Amino acid sequence: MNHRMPSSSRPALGSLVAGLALVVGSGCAQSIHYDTFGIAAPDNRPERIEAVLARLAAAPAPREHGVAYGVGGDPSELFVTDLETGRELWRQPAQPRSWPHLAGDVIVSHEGERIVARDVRTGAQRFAFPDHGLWLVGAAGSGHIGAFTLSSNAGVTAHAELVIVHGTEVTQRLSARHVMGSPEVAAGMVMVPWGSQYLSFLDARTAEEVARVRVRGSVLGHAFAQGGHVYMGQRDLFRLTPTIASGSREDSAHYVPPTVDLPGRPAFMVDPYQEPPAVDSAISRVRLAFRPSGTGEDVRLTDDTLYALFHQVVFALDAESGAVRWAYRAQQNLTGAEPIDGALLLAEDDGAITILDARDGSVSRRIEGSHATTLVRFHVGDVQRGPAATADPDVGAQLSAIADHRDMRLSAASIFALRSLRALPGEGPTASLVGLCESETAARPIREEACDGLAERSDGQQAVLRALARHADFVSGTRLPAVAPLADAAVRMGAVAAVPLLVEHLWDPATPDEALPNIVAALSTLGPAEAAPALLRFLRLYHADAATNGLRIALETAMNALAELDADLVQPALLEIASDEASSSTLRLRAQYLLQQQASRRAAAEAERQAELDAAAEEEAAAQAAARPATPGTRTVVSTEPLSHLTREVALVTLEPVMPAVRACMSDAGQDSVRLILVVNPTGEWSAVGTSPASLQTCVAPLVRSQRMPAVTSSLRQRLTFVVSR
Amino acid sequence: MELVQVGTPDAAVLIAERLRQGLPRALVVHFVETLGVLGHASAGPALIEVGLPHRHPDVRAAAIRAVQACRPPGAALAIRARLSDPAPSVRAAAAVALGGLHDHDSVEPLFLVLDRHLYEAAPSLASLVQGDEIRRLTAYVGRLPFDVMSPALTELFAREDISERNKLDLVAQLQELGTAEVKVFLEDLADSIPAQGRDARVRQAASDAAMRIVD
Repeated sequence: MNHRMPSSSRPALGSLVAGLALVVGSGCAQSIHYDTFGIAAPDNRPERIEAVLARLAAAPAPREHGVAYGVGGDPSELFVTDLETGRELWRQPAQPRSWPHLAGDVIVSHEGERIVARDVRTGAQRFAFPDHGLWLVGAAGSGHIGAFTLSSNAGVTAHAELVIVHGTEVTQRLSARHVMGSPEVAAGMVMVPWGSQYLSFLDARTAEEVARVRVRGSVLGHAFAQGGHVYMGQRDLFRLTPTIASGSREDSAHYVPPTVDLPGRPAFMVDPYQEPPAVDSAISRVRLAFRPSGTGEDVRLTDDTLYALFHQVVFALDAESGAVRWAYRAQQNLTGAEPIDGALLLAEDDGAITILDARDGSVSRRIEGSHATTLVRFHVGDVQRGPAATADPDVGAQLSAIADHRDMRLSAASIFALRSLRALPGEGPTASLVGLCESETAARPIREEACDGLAERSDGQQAVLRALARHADFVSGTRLPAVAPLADAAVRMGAVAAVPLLVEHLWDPATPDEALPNIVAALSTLGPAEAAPALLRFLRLYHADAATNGLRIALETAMNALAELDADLVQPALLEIASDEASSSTLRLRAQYLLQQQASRRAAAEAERQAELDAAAEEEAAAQAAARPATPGTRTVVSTEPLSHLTREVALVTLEPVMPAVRACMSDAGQDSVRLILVVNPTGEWSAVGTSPASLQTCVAPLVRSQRMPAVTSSLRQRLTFVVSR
Repeated sequence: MELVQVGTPDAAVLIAERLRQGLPRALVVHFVETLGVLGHASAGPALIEVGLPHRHPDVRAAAIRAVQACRPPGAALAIRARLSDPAPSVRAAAAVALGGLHDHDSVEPLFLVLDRHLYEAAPSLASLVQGDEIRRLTAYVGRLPFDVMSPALTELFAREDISERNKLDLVAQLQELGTAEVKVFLEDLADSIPAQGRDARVRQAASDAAMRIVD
């Protein structure tokens, strides 16, 4: 239930309220209200939302003066700098507990146990009062109207206060028994998120609630006014449009940030319902920065970019996909960031302010600072940005530069940069991965991941070839390229041009043993015929000297590849290795096995050749028989007379019942034909059934053997071969 | 070993051929050294093709010495390439061998590797440098440790083709260093040069310079 009453008319005030009433500075027109934000009041009323939208549309665009303000120095000071002139307006000793805020014409900060407001133009203190255990959550302003919120922990004892300021005087103080978020001021209204789900629109002059929005299934912790629109949200971003009256997250105009495993895993927005971070908290350096934009139901981010900050590094992400558009590493730690149309403002801890072009991350303007800063916030008006960038960013080079350093504090950014680099196609990223894989400055996990990424590249062939053309050279100081991942990449790319380069590395004594298997495997895949002489020479030279695993595996791989490629070429070497006692045992055994395999293949080939000769002879005999005139009553195919020998026709007729099953075997194996090699005893019993390919043996042979051939009068075993097609 | 005793070019060819067929590392080194002992140029191709790029640095270093001994065509070029070798022992063997081969084309690469602290290049350079190169080499005196430069200086003073003027200048340069080890070097130098004949003035200058260096 809402109720509000002036503090002077309330007869029994709690100690908190009494305290608050007493401490407000003199001259402030004040009225304190209680439980203004009651949950029983109606929300999402379309006519009220329409009224707010009309009021926003009718309001003139505020003339904002751009300032940067924050905390810095030792001892700690508050300062304000005019962004339009670059001139520091004032600097005063102060030790804020949390981020200071700009509320219209005053800078509000939480110092010790007091809330202190200073004139933004002069730094003169305008008012101060005790915090009564509340945090300074957030503030906003438009013209001379400002507002800020104070809040406690969430829970049953939660309470909060909204303070409205006109000029430098407090005009309203409203209390609530709920936590409040970070407010906004626009069109003469103060917008206050509260209770995690509500956004109340109050008239800034009367503090009357004119509308209330509630979005179920989401959190409302922040409100923004931007370009005549009002935005709200925390985990996602909503625009105030008539559809928000649905109260449904899905049916409202909203933007959901992409799911990206960013360094430091920053939240989309800082949670205002938690205790605010300290001024020097890493949250100010590890966070996301964005500026809402778009029209109607289309909620976007300015320049379609979401900025991820990590200490010294900025990643500009595509607002929808999360892909890295560009990356920038500042000279110093970042202490503030604010996107504006077409640019990103950055503050560094040496006090410098840099303006980056939103399209490529190039520095369009830099304002050197004179004082160290711990935290800088921007209230942006007109900012001179400098000339716009014209070239596409070399994001691969930018990511590579971020990945390639030894600053352990930035290792999460390095790993993110490297993973983003791996996802980029093209020549440049491949070249960057080559450089990182060989880097002497990158941390070891970065190098290893870069080498893994390089080995998996499927484009960027020229970068791989360039790297492979390089050899370690003490005289020139040239470093050894990462040959193993380069060889793997060459295979993925089908880079046949790499074959001669890989052969040179095979013979380069600088090539480490552990890279040799990759080189040999690549040569075997990419250009076995071209590489065969080198592989053979390598095999012979080192077969008795396989002292390391790398060399042994390389020799085995070479031996296998050569045996597959050209059995005749490799046979003398295999014989030498198989009989050489100095050969390593695994190589010797492998050579013996390959020789046996070759002998078996030769025997099989010989048998097949013989079978083909027999078949040809049978076909010729059958043709001659067919040419003779048939005798009346003679049965040509199936005779009751004992057969002198089997013919192909007799065999085919005998096997006819199992032929469908044989063809099914062929179909299952994906074979269009199979050659049957049949050896039959004179009794008709099977002596042997073979198939080519041999892979069909287990399926086809039992089928064939299930049929019995007719007995013949010949005393010799007979061999028949024929091809069965599907 | 019997083949070594035979010592004919045929023996070298046989050993070279066996080398190409692959041997355990210890035997490879022996075979390469044997070819060096035989000293036949016919062993050159096998040494250059198999020995110099062999994966094991012991073999490469032995092959460099063998190539130097056999002096086949292209020996200096092949050895010069090993100045870039990844193994320090091989680079050192190459630097020494190039001096032994009197390969003047190696002067520039030897200076390069001397700049990269391959100190074995200094004595080789001392046997190769001519004209202005002599001054370029002696400019390293004082920049590199004296025990690195002293063998090179000994070589320079021993060379008959270097003028007395150059040698006297070098003595003066050494005197300016004025260290105890330079004093000992100059005393030894003076003792090694005959009192009469060529370089007698160098002897006297070295002796005088040594005396001027305070103990």
